[in-house]
Amino acid sequence: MENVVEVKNLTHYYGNKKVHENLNFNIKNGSIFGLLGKNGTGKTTTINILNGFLKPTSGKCLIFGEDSYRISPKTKARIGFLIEGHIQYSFMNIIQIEKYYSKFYSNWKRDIYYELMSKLKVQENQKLSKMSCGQRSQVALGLLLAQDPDLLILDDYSMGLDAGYRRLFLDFLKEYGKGENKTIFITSHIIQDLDGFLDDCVILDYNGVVLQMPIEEFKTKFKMYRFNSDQQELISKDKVINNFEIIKNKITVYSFEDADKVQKHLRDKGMVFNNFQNIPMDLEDAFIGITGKY
Amino acid sequence: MYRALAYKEWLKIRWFTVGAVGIEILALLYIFTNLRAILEFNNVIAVWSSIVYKNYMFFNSVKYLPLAIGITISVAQYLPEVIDKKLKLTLHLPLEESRVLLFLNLFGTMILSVLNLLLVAVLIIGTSMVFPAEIVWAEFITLIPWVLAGYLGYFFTSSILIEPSWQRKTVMAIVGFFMINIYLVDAIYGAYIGIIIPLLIITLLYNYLHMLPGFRFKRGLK
Repeated sequence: MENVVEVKNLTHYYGNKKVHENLNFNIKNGSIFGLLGKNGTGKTTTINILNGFLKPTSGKCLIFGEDSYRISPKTKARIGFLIEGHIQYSFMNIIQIEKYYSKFYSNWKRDIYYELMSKLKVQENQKLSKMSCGQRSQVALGLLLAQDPDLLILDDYSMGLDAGYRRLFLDFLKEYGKGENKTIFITSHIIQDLDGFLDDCVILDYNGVVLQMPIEEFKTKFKMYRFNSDQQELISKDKVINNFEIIKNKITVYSFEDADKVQKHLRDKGMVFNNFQNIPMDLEDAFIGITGKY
Repeated sequence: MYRALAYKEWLKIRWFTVGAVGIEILALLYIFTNLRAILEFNNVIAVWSSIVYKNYMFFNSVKYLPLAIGITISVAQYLPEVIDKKLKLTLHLPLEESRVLLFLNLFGTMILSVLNLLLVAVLIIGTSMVFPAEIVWAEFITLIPWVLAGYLGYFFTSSILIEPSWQRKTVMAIVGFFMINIYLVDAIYGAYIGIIIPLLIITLLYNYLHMLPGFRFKRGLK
């Protein structure tokens, strides 16, 4: 099966509030797919629909070829699910929770779980409720990896984690995902961590999908140009300029076009400018460039 | 797999179950020491006469105990599931969702049954050592609706906790209050004897009450 996840014309409303309209994307087997967007753009809604915890207003979402709202137990066993905030049963300790989950999954990999737990400085009888957010995230990750699912759905893994735990989380995930040809669907509001991690992405904003393409293509093609001009009123979003910022006479524009084409476009608009520069961007810059700061 | 699910449920409610046993023992000790004192200081015929003619219920202090235990067990079992919507973790397990929901309530019902059996058995055995069979039988029939109120309290509390909508929670709480009230009316010994069977059937049917809120939770309804 080439596509593990297929989202077709997905539309969802909360009352009169539109969250998605005709959202389409596929997640290829063995790829790491990021759903990126600011808070409130529908990332968790999408995750809930994918996991069958929300029935979409219309459209289809298939996981391993099954309707996500009616996933069979057999298919559920192939999906590892991280709830936003690394939610797990906080009344259990690390021994109890491993004992509990191990009974549900035939390929349970106990060693991976305890390898991760050995890195935590926690007592065996310490309940999850007495652990830090970072420690809880490692327990949740250890359980996911021990489950050995074919598809991991991770809803904002970065929530509440400091840089060290975020790095640890992604390092384990990367080694596991790439090493064993797992498919990973991840959302995050901390974009910089995902630089070099994702294969494909969809970027959402409050009006829907802003961009959908392989991450390397996005990083290569999407450019930031900065120049000086006093004719700020001539700048607007159009086919060439995807976004712009103006601070005094310093103008930054974001575009998928090369520098020559953007300069020509600006001149065609009648703009006089100088000191035109192509500014290198990382993934977070590019994300802010395409979605805007607000 | 269901054994593992039972293990998780037990971890949640074990100390509450132990606490409930402790409270039951205290209540029973109170009832029997009190009864002993009454029998010591009064004429036995006067005590019988109070029971038969004045509806004196020496075990009245446990009237609300099954209800309190039912509600407590439900809260202990379901509150950890609804905080942060952890029920999603349970429903994501590779099991049929309807069976999982049913199993959760059956587990709680089983624990309640053990606790209720302990309470009723000790009361009945203790009473039968002092009073004739007619009074023991009347006591047993009187206890049944109180015990059933405990199950009903458990079923309604579970449903209210799982239900995602506050409006529906409120409606269920009001309906539950009035339903439970029917089981706990101040009445004479054995007053419910004519409706015990319908009451039992109705109560058992409420074991499925939480299924609808469970499916509503699953659908992400608010």
